[in-house]
Amino acid sequence: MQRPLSQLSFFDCNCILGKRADRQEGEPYSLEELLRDMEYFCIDEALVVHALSKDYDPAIGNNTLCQLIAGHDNLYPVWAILPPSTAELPTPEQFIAQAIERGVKAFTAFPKLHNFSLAEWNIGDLLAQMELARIPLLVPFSETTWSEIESVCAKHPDLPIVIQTVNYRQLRFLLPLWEKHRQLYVDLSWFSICSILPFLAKRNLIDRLLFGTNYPSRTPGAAVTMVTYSEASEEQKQRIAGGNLRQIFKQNEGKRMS
Amino acid sequence: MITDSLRQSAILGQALEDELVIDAHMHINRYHNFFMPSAEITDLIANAKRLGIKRLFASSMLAIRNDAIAGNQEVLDAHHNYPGLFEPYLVVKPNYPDEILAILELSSKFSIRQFKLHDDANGYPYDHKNYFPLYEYCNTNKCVILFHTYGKMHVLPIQNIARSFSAIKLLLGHSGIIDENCYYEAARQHENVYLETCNSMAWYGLIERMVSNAGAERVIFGSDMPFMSPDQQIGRVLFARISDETKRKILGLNARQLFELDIK
Repeated sequence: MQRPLSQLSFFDCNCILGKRADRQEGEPYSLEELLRDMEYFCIDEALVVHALSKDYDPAIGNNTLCQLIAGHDNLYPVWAILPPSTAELPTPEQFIAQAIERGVKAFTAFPKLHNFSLAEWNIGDLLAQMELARIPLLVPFSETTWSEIESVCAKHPDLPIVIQTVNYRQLRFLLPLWEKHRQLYVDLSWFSICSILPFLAKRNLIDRLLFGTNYPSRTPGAAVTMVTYSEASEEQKQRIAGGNLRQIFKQNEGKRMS
Repeated sequence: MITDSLRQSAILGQALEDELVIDAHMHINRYHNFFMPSAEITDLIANAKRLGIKRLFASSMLAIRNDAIAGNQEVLDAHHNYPGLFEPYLVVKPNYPDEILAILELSSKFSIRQFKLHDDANGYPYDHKNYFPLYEYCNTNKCVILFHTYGKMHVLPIQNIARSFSAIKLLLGHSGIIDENCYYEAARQHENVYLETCNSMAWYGLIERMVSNAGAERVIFGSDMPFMSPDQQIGRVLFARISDETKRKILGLNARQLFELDIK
C-alpha cells in the first residue's frame, strides 16, 4: 500500500521494540513490523527503547538495541539507566561516553519497575553527567510522580526531561510545572484532551509538546491525527510533529560541542 | 495508487466534508475531576465542523453528575439552538427515582428517543430495579441507550438488560477499553448490542478487532468530546487497517440506521 503524501515530518519519541513482558496478543514487536508501521502511519523517525532494557536487564537491552537497529538511519537508540552504586552499568562518565559513541540520542528510566528513585541521593551523580552532556531523559508517567519530576527539574535545570504517556487529566499538575521549568516536555500519546493544542499555543507552550505514540501498545494513528486535524497553524503542527524534538537535539548537541 | 482515501485525508488533516460522520458520544460542559481547556458548546461545534462531523449526540455533565432535570434542559436548549446538528441524550439517575417519570414525559413530549446512563458516583448497577421504568419505556418506544462502560463490571449487567428488553438498542460506550472480549461476547449474544469506539487508550488494532469480532455494522463512532480530542478519536478509525467502506459504516452509516436519522 502506497504511503500518502504527508506535509509533516513526524518524529516519534515514545516507541519500544522487542518482546515485551506485558505484550497483548496481536501487538507487533519485531523491527520489520516497526518499519512497516512507521511507513503506514507516515512517521519518518523514531527514538527506540528495547523491551529487554525495560523488562529484563538494561545493560543487555541497551546493547541489543544498538545491534538490532544498526544501519537504520531513521531509528535512534534510547538507553535505560540505573543508579550507579550497584555497578550494573558502567560509571556515569564511562556510560555517557559509551552512549555518545554509539549514537544514543536519549536515556530512559523506569524507577518503579526497576525499584530505584530519581532522587539526588539515589541517582543524582548520573543525572548530573547526563545534564552536562545534555542528553534528554525520557520517563513514562506511570513510572514516576509529579513531585519527583519537580525535584529533578529543580536540581538539573539543563537536563531536558520528557514525561511520556501523560494522561489527559493532568493539566492541574502540569501547567504550574511548565511555568516553572523550561526543560520539561510531554508527549502526545495519551495527552489527548480536547482542544489542547490551541490552548497551549495561546500560553506559548507549544514548544513543550512532542509527538509520541507509545507504540506498539497504542495505535500511532491517534497521535498523528491529534496533530494533522488540530486547529494549530501549519508551523505549529510541524514543530509538534518533529520540530521540537529535533530542536532539542540540535541545541544540546551544539552546546555539548562548544 | 492509494486506495484508502480516508487514510489520505487523515494524514493531510482534510475535513471529511463529503462523508457522513456522526458523533454518537459526546458531552457538554465541565467535569470536576480535571481541567478541560474547552468545553463550551460553541467550541465543540466548531471542532465538529472542522472535522466534517454532521451530527452530534450529547449528554450534559451536569445531568450525569448532579442534576438530571437541569442538565437535561441544557441539552434540550442546545437541540433547539442547533437544529439538525445537535441531538440530546436524556440522562436518568437511579439515585433520584422520583424524577424518572418526569424525564420520560420530556422524552415523549419532544420525541427524544435516546438516553445516556452513567454510574459516575452513584454506583447503582445497570440492572438495578430503579432503572426498570426507563427500560420498559425504551423497550416500548424502541429507544437507544448509551451506557458508560468500563469492562465486565458494566457489560455483564447490561447483558441482562439486553436479554430482557430486546427492543432497546444498547450502545456500549468506550467498548474494548478493558476486558475486551466481554464486549464481543455481548455483541455476539445480543443483536441489540452495539459497540461505541471512544477510548482514550487508543489500543493498537482495537478498531480492527471490534470489526472482526462484532461485525462492521455493530461499530459506531464516538469522540467523547470535551474529555477527549475528536482529532485523536477519528484517527483511530481513519488509520485502521479496514476498508474505506467499513470505515464509512463506523463513522456514520451505522449511526444513521441506529438513530433512524433522515440524513444523507
